[in-house]
Amino acid sequence: MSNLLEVADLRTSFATEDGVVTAVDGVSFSVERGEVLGIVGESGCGKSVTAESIMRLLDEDSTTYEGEVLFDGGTDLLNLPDDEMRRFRGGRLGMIFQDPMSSLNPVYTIGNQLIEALRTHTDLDKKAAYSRAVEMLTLTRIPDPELRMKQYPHQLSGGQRQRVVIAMALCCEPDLIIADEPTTALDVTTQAKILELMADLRHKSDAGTLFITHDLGVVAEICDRVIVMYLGQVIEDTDVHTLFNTPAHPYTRGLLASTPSVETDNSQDLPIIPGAVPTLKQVPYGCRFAARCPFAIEACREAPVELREYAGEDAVEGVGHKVRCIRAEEIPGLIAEQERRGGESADGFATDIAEAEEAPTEAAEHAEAEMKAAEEDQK
Amino acid sequence: MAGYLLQRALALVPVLAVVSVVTFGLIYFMPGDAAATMLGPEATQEQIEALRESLGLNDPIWVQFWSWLTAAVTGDLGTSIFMNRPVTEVLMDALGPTIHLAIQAQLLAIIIGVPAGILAARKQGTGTDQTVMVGALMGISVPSFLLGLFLMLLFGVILGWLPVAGYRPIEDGIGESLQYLALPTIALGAMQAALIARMTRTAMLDTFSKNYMKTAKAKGLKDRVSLYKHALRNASLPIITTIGQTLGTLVAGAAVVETVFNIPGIGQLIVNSVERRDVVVIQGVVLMIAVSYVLINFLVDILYSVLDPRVRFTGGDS
Amino acid sequence: MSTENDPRAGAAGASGPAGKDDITVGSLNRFNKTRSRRSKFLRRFAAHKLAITGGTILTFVALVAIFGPMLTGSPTAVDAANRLQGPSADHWFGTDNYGRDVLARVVEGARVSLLVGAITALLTSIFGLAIGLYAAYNRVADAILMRISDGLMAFPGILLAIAIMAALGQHSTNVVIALTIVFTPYVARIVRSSALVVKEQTFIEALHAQGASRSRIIWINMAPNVLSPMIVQATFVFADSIITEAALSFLGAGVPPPAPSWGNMLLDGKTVIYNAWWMTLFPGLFIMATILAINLLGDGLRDLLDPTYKGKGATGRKKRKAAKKAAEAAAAQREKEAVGGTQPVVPAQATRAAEFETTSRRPEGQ
Ligand SMILES: Nc1ncnc2c1ncn2[C@@H]1O[C@H](COP(=O)(O)OP(=O)(O)O)[C@@H](O)[C@H]1O
Ligand code: SF4
Ligand SMILES: [Mg+2]
Repeated sequence: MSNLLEVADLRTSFATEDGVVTAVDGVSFSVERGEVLGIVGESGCGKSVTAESIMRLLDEDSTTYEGEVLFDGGTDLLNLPDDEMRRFRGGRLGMIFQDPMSSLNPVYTIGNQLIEALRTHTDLDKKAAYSRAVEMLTLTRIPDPELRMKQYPHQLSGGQRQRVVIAMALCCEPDLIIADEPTTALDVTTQAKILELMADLRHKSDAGTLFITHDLGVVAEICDRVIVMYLGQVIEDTDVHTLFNTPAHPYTRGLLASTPSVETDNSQDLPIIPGAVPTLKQVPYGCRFAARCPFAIEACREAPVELREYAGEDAVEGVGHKVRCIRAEEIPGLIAEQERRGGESADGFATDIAEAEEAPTEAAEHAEAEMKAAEEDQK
Repeated sequence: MAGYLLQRALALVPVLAVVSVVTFGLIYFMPGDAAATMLGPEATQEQIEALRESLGLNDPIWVQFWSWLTAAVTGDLGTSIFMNRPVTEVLMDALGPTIHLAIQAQLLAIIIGVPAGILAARKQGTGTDQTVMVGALMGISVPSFLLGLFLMLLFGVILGWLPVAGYRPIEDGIGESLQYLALPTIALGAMQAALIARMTRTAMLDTFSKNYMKTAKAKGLKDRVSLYKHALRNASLPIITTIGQTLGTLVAGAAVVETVFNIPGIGQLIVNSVERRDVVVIQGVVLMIAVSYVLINFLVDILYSVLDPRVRFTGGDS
Repeated sequence: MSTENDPRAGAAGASGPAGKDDITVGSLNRFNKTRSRRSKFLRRFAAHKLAITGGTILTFVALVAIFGPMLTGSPTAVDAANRLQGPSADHWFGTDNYGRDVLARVVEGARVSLLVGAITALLTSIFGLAIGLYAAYNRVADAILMRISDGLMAFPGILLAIAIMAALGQHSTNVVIALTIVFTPYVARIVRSSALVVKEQTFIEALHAQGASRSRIIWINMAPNVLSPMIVQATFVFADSIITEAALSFLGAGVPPPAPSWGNMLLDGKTVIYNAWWMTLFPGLFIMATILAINLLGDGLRDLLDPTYKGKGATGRKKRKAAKKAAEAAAAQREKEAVGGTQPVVPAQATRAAEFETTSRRPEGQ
């Protein structure tokens, strides 16, 4: 079966006033029909840029795309003429954005915006488009859809708005749904409801979904496969069970360790990955995670690390498990040894949050200072 | 909506109060004896006394203010000392050409400024953008009366294409009227167009960065639809506010430009009154323009609330 | 910028709640920031072509105003024999209808215009700063002061100035008084809104908690933080008061003759515009150049000083274009190498970052 979406060696660079930054650097993955592929990673590691590269939503003047984005049997979206690409957007490609508060136009009614989406891609007349729009809203279980059609975005709650955004993305029955942190901006209860809705809707069609989140808890609930991104690269790629049971990359271990589990709700005590994502202006030459990695050795910094098949003792047969770490196979052993000696948690990260705060690594401090400087520059 | 309008209307009260106090204060704060100053050095003591009496300058200040205010509210702005005519009447005579000029200049400014601003925003950073912005900067750097003089020098004196002085109302024929008002309209409209172009550009750039514009693109809309339906509609709100807020300045600018081209409007009335120190007339002009400014901005608020559903439905003042 | 707030990212630099000890650290940081900001500001100012152009023209006009009168003849000396003479070697800008030298008058007019503009800008800054800060600090004062400024701003500037001049009488000092009354509300508004933002910042709250006196907080701690927007606004007041003074004088309500001002020179020029174009052209050009220069300077200062102003300059575009070209070249290069089967090229930025990496601390586990 040919893949619905095949992203090969995608590289997205921005021309900024201080030179070129490459926000997505050689990312490859594929999505099959009916599959939900998750992309996880801390904020700033290039998830949104990946999604928007597929849709080609980024500012054309300053963005350079490389690689291939093959859609449904080989159409390379990156090389499509503008007006053909436009037909894909909102038609066969539906996008759900992160912030429902700002992704709807405040001066037009919900109905207007839904009907606009429908009439751009179908031949429906106004009446038919209207009933289709109501139907879509009903599908998203928004209360009183007819009334919503007449209302303006500010009259709806955050959760209702996100339902509208979902309806808008799905109304033309897309083959691929790209959801960029669709629940991040919502409160916990609403998050759960929207997730439930999305999980439901995915069973109603055979569309593939690219689901972006920084929350591994969400991944566990909804995704089939997962790629983990760090600083513009895929650092681990496997199915969801393998990722949770036998994570191979230290970064993934860190993320998992800092995800609150259902039983313990006290997120304060969770270990965290010390330091912050470096900015794109100071991408390390060797392993990009080295500055924050508890297992980093000289060899890690010497050459760029390739994404490769994981071959550890705990590797699961036949699922496909890729990792971008030269020590991935040794790490379970290293952790076991550390545990024997005591002092470190099972993930190799400092357990004591206060300690991490008081003694931030020099690298992290440096990175933070740089980041502040960069922010100020932007101003 | 009704609550919003009521709230806006109530907000007018203190502003109008300050406006009337300041206007009233013009006479009160005249150095020396206001009546003597107004009548000039040749006036006799009896004349001065009579004027003091008729202006009520002998009463306590709050009595003066109250009678002035009640008269003003009923449309009685006093009597011109020099012309010996009611100020309201004098004003009405002079208003026509000024309003005509102001409206024409405003239209010209909108017709030029809005498209220029949109163009600059779309081509942000390019030569086109730079050209428009430099043009706008020139526009706001040349005071309208000076531009009027330059235009007069070029088209009136050197080229001799257009009349340099006078006014013909529209009733005399649009062509004729336009001929006389062409230069003043350009002189006055240029700065306004520059302001509108700058504001339009800023507002458009601001909306371009909004998430709903990304949504519009992700829907597969044509650039034209995104631009005119989604961006412009949102950007129109600050543009309209700018137009409303600059209207007072525009009328005042019209008055100044009039004097360049000898158009018998408010401007000439002011200049003559300043020369004669006919402060009562000045008071009338100033009060009328300030009050119209306040009222026009109230209308802009109403228009705003029609255009912006967030205001229309919640009545908040965001 | 992304607005998401990942609790796991960047926790290392989290700062505790503001307490007494934080104040010294905080103010030290602020001090250091100001210093580095200042040098950065100068660097960026030097790179801001438009601001430099504006500054240069303005400096030139200022030099003319200061030293010009020493070089030219008297601006008021009447010479009935030489009335309305066109530009010549003796009178570069010609003579006016009294035979006075137009160049000398333009130069003297520069002095008047710049002086009126500068004094007004200074006075409005002082009053605007005091009023704006006080309004930001005290709710009751705020309500009253802002209503008054709303009221004053309802009058078109030029009109209010004319009215005040009509009441006070024609005199240069009165021009400054009138312009100060007209423009102070605009500065006060700007100061107030920036001060309201500053006021919310934790270090001000901390000072309150510490029991710092009101005037200390207002003048020592809040004032420096609202200076940038105030300076930008004062620059525009400078330009506007020169325009308004010229208009007033042109209407016969400003600087009284025979003292020359650009505005009253234009008034004289208008009556003889058919015979003496030079009487209109030269003062007019000087007004234009001066206002343009101040506006360029003001726009430049706003770009550089005001973080909330988003008018992106065109210089950025050029740099971005160059960067984009570089990116495309690199992409083409990579493509070639990929075909040839060689290793991908290492971008320069990666090498630089690599240097930084090796000097940084070795994490444990090694
Ligand atoms: N238009 C742009 N120009 C320059 N840098 C950008 C641009 N858009 C995003 N970036 C940078 O790319 C990186 C990845 O951003 P993003 O994909 O939004 O991260 P996230 O994973 O949180 O979605 C960030 O460092 C961001 O600053
Ligand atoms: S390559 Fe080295 S530094 Fe990078 S993740 Fe693996 S162990 Fe850590
Ligand atoms: Mg994102």
